[in-house]
Amino acid sequence: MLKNLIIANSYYDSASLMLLTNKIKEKLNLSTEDVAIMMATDMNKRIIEESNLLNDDGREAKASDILIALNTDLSDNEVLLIVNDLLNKKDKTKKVYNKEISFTDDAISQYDDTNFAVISIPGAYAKREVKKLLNAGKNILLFSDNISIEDEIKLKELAVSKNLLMMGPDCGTSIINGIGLGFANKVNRGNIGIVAASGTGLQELTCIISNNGGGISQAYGTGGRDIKNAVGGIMSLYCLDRLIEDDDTDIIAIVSKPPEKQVLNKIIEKVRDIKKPVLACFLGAESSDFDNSNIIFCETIEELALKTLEFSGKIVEEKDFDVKVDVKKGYIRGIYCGGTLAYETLLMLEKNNFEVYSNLSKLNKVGRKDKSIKNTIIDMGDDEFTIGSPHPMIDPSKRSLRIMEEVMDSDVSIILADVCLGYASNDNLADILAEDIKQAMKIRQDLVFIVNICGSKLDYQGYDNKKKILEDSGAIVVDTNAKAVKLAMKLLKEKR
Amino acid sequence: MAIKNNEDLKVLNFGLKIFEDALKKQNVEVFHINWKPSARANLRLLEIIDKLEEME
Repeated sequence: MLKNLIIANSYYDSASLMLLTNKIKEKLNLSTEDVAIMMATDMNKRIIEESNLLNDDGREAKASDILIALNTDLSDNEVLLIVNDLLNKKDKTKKVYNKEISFTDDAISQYDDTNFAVISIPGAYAKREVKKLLNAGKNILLFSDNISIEDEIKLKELAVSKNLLMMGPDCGTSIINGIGLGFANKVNRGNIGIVAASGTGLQELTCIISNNGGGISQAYGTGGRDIKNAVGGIMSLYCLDRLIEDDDTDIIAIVSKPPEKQVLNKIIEKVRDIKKPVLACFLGAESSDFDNSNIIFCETIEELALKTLEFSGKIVEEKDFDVKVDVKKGYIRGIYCGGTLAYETLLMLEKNNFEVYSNLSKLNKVGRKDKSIKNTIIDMGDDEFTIGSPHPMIDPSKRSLRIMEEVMDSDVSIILADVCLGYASNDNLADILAEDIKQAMKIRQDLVFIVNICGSKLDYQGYDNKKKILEDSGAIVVDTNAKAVKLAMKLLKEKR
Repeated sequence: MAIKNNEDLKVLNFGLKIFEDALKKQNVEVFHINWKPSARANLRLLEIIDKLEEME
């Protein structure tokens, strides 16, 4: 029986409520589809409605209430007792951990010598807090999403007027003065500066550069929406200015989806007369768009990294694949944690005339509840796949389930997957994927797994060790996503 | 003021603790704020206050 219970005027962050959801799920033996516990914001209520877990009681809940939506035969009191018990347990640990500060004003006055703030609170509240922090002179990495374009513009304009960074919303990665903020990798410092409206794009690019002997001066994230006409590339242009003026940056690289026309024109004009080389991978753009510019266009992130390295005097020899593996005729399934990597794969396959379906595709759309069709690429970190659960770079369990679904499809011959190393990622992504592959191989000895490690040789998880764990499971392991896709296409083309 | 290339990062972390842990692993000075909305915040009311502040 569907129940919607409300705990009025009580705030918990989304991570705590996800943890609570998992505990309730375990305790009451419920499936993922049967329970959702969230702050009752309009956005969350929509998510719960889409999961068929919202009733009239829940619709009445306010943004400051906790909404517990679940299918159960227990009474309201029984459920609330269990929830309270779990919340109170959580509270005790919190009290031990955090002694005092809960408000931005207090944080600003107590820690007035800080120069950065990383924000991942719910989007509905984030704008006010970011505004206070910018006014107090803090640079910002804003991981939160659900922030309106109008607010994004206001915050970015405020930041630029104060000569501060406002990276985001929905920005999870940057490297500032050698320090990784959010999901970032430990990479060499050097003379290559980066602007990215793409999280795993920035990670892949910085890792390939660093692993091949180059280094990063600064790598700025902007948030994916920055390159829309509406936002006007405010942060991309500001970050480009910083790199142009930066004495430690000799080469500039840009990675993102194609900017909308007005923004693209502004970027082209911004870099037209500068002396530093500018290279860009605008995934999905046409090279002809750059014919009359001084931007060197690259089709893949790997190509961008290698050309950028050339400019810094490091030539990386491209080795031919000499993998001896027997693959049967069939389809490719790419099940990714990294959104940009999934998107790059989709584009590369399309360009090579593969019929591809994806949750990232406009024409050949595959949704969360759909089965894969022919060649299918799934970004497991996409919003619709992460409803009520953490991003797969933090908890890859849904990715594991999806991989096993693909394994059971006898038309599939190659599975592509990524492992993102670095700060904030789950330390055991490679180990978990290796277990998935071992399980899969028990059922399907004819399957080929190709895994790209999006990671730096310097990452604390240990690149070489993770590579060995994956290879021991039976996977072919490569060091760029483009290489993985090229190998998959080559193996299948031989069978066509 | 733009952050200078030789300046150490000193960071306030609001929200997910994994981002604090990530900075600690790099020996960055980071202060985690156990952020909560102020005064049992009513979002509609906060939006109205924001609008009023912008008009001033």
